Amino acid sequence: MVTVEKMLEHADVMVARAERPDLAQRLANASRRWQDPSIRVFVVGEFKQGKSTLVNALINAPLCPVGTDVTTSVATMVSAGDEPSAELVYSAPSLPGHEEAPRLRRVPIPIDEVAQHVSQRHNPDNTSHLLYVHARLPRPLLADGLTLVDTPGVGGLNSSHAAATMSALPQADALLFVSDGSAEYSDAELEFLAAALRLCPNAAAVMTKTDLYPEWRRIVEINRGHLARAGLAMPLIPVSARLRLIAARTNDATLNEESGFSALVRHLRLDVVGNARALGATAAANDVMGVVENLRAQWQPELAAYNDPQSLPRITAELDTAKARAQELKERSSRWQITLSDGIADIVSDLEHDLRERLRAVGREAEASIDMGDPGQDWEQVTAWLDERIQLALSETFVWAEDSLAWLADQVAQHFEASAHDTLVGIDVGNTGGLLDRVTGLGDLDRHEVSPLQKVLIGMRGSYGGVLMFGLLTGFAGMALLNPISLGAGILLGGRTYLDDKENRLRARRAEAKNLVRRRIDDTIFQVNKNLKDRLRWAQRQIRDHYTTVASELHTSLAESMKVAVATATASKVERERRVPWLTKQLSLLDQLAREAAELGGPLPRPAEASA
Amino acid sequence: MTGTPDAVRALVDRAARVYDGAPGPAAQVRAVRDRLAEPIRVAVAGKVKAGKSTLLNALLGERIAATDAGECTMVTTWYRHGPAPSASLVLADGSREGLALRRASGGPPFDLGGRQPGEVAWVEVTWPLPILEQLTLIDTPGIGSLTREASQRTLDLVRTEGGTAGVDALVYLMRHRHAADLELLHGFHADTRTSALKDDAALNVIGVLSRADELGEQGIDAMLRAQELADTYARDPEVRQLCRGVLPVAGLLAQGAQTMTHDDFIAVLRFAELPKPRRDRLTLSASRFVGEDEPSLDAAARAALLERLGLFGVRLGAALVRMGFDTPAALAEELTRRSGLPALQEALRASYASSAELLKARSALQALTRIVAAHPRAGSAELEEALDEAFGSAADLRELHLLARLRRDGLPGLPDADVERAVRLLEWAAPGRAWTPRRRGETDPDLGAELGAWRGVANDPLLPHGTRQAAETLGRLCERFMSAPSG
Repeated sequence: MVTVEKMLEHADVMVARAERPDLAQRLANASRRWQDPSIRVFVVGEFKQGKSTLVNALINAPLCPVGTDVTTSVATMVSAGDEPSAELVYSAPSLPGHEEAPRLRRVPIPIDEVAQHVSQRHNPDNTSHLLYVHARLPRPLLADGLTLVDTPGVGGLNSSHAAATMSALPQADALLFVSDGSAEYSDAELEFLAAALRLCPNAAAVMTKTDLYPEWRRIVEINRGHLARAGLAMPLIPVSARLRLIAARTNDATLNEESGFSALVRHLRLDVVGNARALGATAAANDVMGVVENLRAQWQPELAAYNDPQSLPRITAELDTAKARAQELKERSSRWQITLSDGIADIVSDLEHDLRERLRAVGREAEASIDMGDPGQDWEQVTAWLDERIQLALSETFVWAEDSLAWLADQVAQHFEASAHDTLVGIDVGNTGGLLDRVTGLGDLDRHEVSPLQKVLIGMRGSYGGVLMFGLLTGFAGMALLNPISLGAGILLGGRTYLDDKENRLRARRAEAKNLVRRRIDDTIFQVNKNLKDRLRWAQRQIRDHYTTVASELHTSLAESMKVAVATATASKVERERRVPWLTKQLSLLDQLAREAAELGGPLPRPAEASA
Repeated sequence: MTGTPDAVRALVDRAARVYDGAPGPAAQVRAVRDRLAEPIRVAVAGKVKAGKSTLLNALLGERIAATDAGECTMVTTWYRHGPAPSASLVLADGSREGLALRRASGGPPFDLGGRQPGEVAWVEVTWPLPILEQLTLIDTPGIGSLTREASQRTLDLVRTEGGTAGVDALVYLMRHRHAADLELLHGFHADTRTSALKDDAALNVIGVLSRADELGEQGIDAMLRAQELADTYARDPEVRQLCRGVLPVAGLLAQGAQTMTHDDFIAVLRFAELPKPRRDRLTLSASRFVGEDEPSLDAAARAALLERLGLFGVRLGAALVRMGFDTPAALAEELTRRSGLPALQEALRASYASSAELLKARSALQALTRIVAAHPRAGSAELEEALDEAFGSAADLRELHLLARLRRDGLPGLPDADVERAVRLLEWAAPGRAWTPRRRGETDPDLGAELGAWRGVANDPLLPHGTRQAAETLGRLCERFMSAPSG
């Protein structure tokens, strides 16, 4: 079987022959994504379950801080690097005019200082406003682009961790859901898992600390039962990080096997990296198929015109129509563009309405509880409760936004595909035989159950600096989004001292407290609305740019085709005798390339077989 | 310390007279009176798999409650004192069914007799144990369970919203500070949060850092780490306002030590006699401990030992044997001591047993207040006033309330050091002389100096009213103890 590299090389040659720099650019992007993948695996779960220890054991280095009363407050990302290094990542103010584009500020630190920045003790509730810490280590496990992300545990006293983790999940390629062998899943754990799976379906459960619990095998069975009953199909891998670390120190192969890590590593290599690579191959094949389609559209009519000069007027007329359609596709008035802009407007207004309703309801509840008590004394509880409810309402809104956007993107993809298909169907190039079947070559991929949306997803993944285009909150920027809200707590804390010092009558205290709650809710609505709108507009621009580029390529192909088809009328015999075999050769090479792409983009091979 | 319980009894009698002839409220008042005569009710509660039944067995000193690796306590079980062991279940319709007891076998002595947990309202066990003369202990299903009905039973029992709390006090088990823990504790205090009684939140909850032996990979220093962690939790403002303190307890170890058999002891001895490399190899993991080849101690005995003491208990037991605790009694006692159980027993006795009358009186006052509010009648308005007065005038209750308030809010206008001092003073004066572990070198307070200091605060016109009022209470406390030397 041909490799992805070879296929891309072959495609490059064809594009060079056709003198199409636009298509060459597309291939260059595809090649870059293939060679430098980033496959993010989020390690999630409740706190004190051994997430950081698991990451440390996987990379065999004491990177993430662990201990009896150590809890992680900031996410740590570990990826491959030639030398061990680490940097703190903050969000930076956006450039004027590009408010919606997240920007990052990076500060290098010695790698052994990572622990000081990500633990609850040194950086409580992430008061230093880090987005995350990025460490790089030379490790064979990470060499294929695998990136591990250790996240703050959920279920603790800080409810914002759950919201932050949720909002970052859309950019995860896979999840490891961690719980320890001391107990079966609780309802909170399964609820979290079910919600997380909606955002990132490729998941495995990991049960840690098997060395400590004699009954761990029973817990594994019970948990498998819970997963099955909840309809969550995922593997459950029991491991002991402690045995793994001892095994690594003493070079004890039996102990390493007992630690269960070989199964976990196998899962990461095959099911995570392997699948991601297979998906990457599909993406590359998809790009190549697009190139093939364009080149066929460019060359086929020319050959048809040489073979049957009588049909030239008909061919040029049809090309003209097709070209006009492709032109229309680029226009704002085309169906997919309208679907997109209307859809975004709808989502924005729905979300605004939904968020306002949710938060107003929270506000009403808070006011009712203020009326029942004395805010001078209950204030801390009220604010804690309010924070928690606001975070909850926001995570729900985010998940919903994500779902709506994915649905819209699917609609746009279908409309675009349909129109693009019409464009090509319109060209009847006569007796060249079977051309149209092959022109709609993307159908080959469809048979392998890749929906139009998936095609775009896998095609664009990584093309914007590793940020998933449909990730509404664009990954870790999601955590930044939550920050303005936690900053809002300042208003409330100020309010508390005010209430304490001023010996107001109860009624005045209540009125003041309600005022603060309302202001808090309004501030939140304002901030979040602005953020949501920015993100949605950004996503809209990405989708539009993608399809406009595809439409332009098509337009160029058809224009090129038109030019050469017309030229056949005045071509000399010599020219014709040189050109016909060349075109035939190129078209057969394109057929060959299309087969290669279909093969690579076909049913995903298990990576084990692929590498064997 | 006198007064409040007697006053409350008188109020109950008065309420009985007010509601004479009104069957509904009269029955409620009778229930309040009955409860005053009973031992204090202490529920063992916590998240699912926190180790509640194991700890309960350790407290009882016998393995009566069923324990398992999976979730197994599905119904609430009341352990009361009685002349002979017995168990019966109360069905949802109120009827009772006796349960057959079986001895020996090491497992729990009874089961639900074929009934489904959903059919059973609760299980009642009587057992002739001294601790039950002072406390009625209640084992509860864990909260946060996937079996929601089971969790709901605990919430119903513990929550005070809209009814009388079923229990007077809680031993609350937590493994980490989980949000669900705080939620349940808030529920327990829910009723007191908005009422006049709010200040006594945190009075009647003892926090336990359970499964303490599992910390730090079950190394030999696990209990030291657990103590540090428990101290951290106890300092956490959120935890502090919900319970009186946090004690680390290794429940499995405590249970194993309390119910240690000769076979267990021999097994520990054999294990301790093995050369160190072999011991290390065995204790590498739980699976290895049972699965390794070791002729001097057969695998079944090892499995039994592990089940009863846990990996930490085995390691600790072996270390203790080598340190000279080489008789069954000495080993059991030392293991018990190290498990943290005695500190919990001491806390229970000092706190609940000695202030049981006060806590019960408090529960009774809450219940009466609710009955009176719900059933206005001739004489009920006056009774309501009398109830308010009882709350207001009882110095002992007021001091307990102040203690809870200080833990939560501090003293606005005064530095933290003063708040600490006030808390120490109140804890020192509290009935039963507080359960809080004494800090090293701590002595009785200098009441004369304290009196002067708090009088000064009480008379400072620049300080907030609440702070001055608190200082007033503290000053009166000093006077009371100075005039009548305490014993």
